[in-house]
Amino acid sequence: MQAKIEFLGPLKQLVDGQDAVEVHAASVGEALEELQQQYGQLGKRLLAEDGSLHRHINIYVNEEDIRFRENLQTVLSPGDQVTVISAIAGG
Amino acid sequence: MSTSARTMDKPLDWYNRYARHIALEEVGESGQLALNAASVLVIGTGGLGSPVALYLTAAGVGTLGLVDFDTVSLNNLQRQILHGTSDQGRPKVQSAWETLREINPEVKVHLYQEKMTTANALDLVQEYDLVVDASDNFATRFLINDVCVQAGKPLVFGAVLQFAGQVTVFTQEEDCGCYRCLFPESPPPELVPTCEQAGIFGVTPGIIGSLQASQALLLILNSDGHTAGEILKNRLLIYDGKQASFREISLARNPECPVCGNPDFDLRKVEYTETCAVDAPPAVSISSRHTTTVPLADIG
Repeated sequence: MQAKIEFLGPLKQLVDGQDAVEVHAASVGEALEELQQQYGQLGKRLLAEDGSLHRHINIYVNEEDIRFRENLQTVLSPGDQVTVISAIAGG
Repeated sequence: MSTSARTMDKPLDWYNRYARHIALEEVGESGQLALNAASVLVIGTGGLGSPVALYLTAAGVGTLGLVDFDTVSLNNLQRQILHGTSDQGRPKVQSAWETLREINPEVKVHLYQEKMTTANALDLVQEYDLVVDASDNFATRFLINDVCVQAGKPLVFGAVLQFAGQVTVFTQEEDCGCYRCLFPESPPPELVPTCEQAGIFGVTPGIIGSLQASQALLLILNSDGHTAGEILKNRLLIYDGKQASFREISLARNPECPVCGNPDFDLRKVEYTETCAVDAPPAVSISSRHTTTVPLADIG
């Protein structure tokens, strides 16, 4: 499935400053694997050593937090909008 | 404003100072009185805390509490507009108060030159109607969230990094999540740079702090029975200063949240380090760490 993944804030740096990238993947996890091939730092920044999503990173599929769906196994449908954000703490 | 428009037993200066508020249907005299009667605790008097404290003071919020253990450094001045060049080396809360009293001497300001800890957090927030998180690190942010949940105090959250900002409000109502519903834990320190390492575009905290101030004022105005404006409840506003754009993401309460979903949650059992996991071993017992918070100054 083709999906658009948007990285907000400082996470844009993970995809060379692009606002969004397109992937062909059946799930969020597959999408991240595909992006990891292209952007080497992305996996470590988003995923913990056990392969789960870092708990300071949120991924939304069509505005719904994947933690409340099937996590990285959340299925992507054509045209889905995926948004990735990170906690920040500066003040 | 002409004296004929005065309907309350208030001095003419009061009507003049707050004339542009009183002229607003959403505020009016009763709203201004609500602001005058309100108390807000602002944690942090740096980049975010500066616009928050400035606008709340100018708006006539009755009592402000300012918490900051730090002193003013030269590299603060690019964004921390409460402080000036001659304030270097001075306590930020003292410098802040001197700026604020010039803007509005009617506001009572309590200064707390100390770190927020599990020992003083509850004492601090219980004195105020609502809390504004203008801190600058994850450990403090999780502590602020947890103490506000425990004390039932509305929390106006804001954070910045580089050109990015985030704002939301945790009202502590049953249908509203908390910061841990949004981000369960802080990142490993090696993964997220501090403002010192990553830099910060100076106006970014000005924009986010101003939004926090606006939300704090609306929370007060809404609390007297009418709706002056919409609160960012269950809504995370994300600002991108490089694109001059805002995005909004809907938030949901996590029914299994270890803090707001746990009626037995006790922040004294949490060790607030940069990981801030709630299942961490207990910190030093409360009895040995408890201190009484005494304001450095009460300015009436």
